[in-house]
Amino acid sequence: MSQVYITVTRTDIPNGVLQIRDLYPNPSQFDPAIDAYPQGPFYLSQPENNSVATLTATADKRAITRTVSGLSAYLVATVAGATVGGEITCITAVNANNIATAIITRMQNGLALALANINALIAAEVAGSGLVGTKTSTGRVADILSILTGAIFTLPAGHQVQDTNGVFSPIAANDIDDFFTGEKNNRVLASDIAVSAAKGALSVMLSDNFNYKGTANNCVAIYNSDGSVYDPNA
Amino acid sequence: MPYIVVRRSDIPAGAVQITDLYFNKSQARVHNGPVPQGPIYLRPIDVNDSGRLSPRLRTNGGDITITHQTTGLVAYVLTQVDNDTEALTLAQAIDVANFIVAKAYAAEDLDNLEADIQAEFGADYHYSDEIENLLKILSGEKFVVSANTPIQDGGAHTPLLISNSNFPVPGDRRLITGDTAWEESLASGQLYKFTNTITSYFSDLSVNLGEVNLNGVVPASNGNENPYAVVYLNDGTVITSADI
Repeated sequence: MSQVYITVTRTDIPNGVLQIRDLYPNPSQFDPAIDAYPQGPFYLSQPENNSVATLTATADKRAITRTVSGLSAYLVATVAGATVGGEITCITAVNANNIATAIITRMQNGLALALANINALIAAEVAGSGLVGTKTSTGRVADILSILTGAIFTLPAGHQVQDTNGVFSPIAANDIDDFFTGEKNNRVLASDIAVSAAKGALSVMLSDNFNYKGTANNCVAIYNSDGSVYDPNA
Repeated sequence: MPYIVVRRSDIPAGAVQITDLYFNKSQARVHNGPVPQGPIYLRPIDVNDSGRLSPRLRTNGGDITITHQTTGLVAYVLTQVDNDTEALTLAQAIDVANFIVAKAYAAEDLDNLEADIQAEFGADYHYSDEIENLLKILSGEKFVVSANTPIQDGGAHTPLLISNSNFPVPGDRRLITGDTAWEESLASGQLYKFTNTITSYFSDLSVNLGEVNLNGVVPASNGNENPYAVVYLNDGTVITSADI
């Protein structure tokens, strides 16, 4: 079953203000004996993106100085950096913050965020680096899309991203979900999402005529799980 | 976006309803439920090739305009098909429109329509509009052309750039890709029945008009030997219950 991710493209809309109310079943009519798990209402959230603080250094070891949530934290913990002296290092905090900003900007412009698109943004900051499949990276497109929908990814203070030998130590792919709090906000692409995007509440939010506090512009982007932009009119 | 196209002209608009598209309007909750998908009334193709409101052309030297506001498939063909870069005559446009209708009645793919038109009418005919605009018209959506719309300027055909204003009721005929309501209907519900079985309308199955010879004249078939409808995907290909 296909999954989609719904992100907020405007910065002037706070978390929890917009609700997609026409997803089915709605909890208000939900009968647990015979109905599917409620799909709506779904509140839209801005992506979390606190800057990663300067990494502490003990010899070549690198660790997070304070607990931090968001896309930068995800990138620093899952994306491999430059190769130095034959060893694959971690990316720097500055690298992570810059890549996160570039990814969010691309999302706010409603552009595709497929593996190649994200890898290009990463490589522009750290040549030769990318998501899973590149060096020892474990970062995945689906996780980044989840964070862009407002899912919370948190690295605890002291989390090590590079060992004492100067080697990047990524979060193992199987363990990444442990760092997410709450839902990952992926939605099954069922009839309710398709109808909403084509003719319902989401279609209004996708329209350039959507008005929030006097400013008219679209306010959401919908991504397929491979990072391509979902086209409700296909 | 898939479209339901009626394959017969003996069914008046609004006479046949597809009732098994979920949500039905009667159960829809506007404040917190999905937009209802049904019922959908079948509408025959608006060809509009004769009568007071059919397209009429005014020629002034090398310029040709449609004189008054009009609707339908012939008007669409006039604005989108050319013959060796010149606008079609009204008779040629009616022939092309009837050719398209015949293909829809036969449930044939429309994804290579320009090649099909050229094979039928000659290589000088050209058609390059988005097929989805044509599918909207075939599914019964109202296509409107304003009065004094030019179709030829200085001897050269000027295709109309189609916008929302040409479809004053947008979206009302579309099915939605990814919505399982119409897929289930096409697989085993009313759309299955309407696309697979030949059903009489109103009374017993009337004589196939295409086979009646009136004083040596064979009228065009009204399609009553066909199932009620066919479903097209927005690339012009036909989707059937076997594809679900």
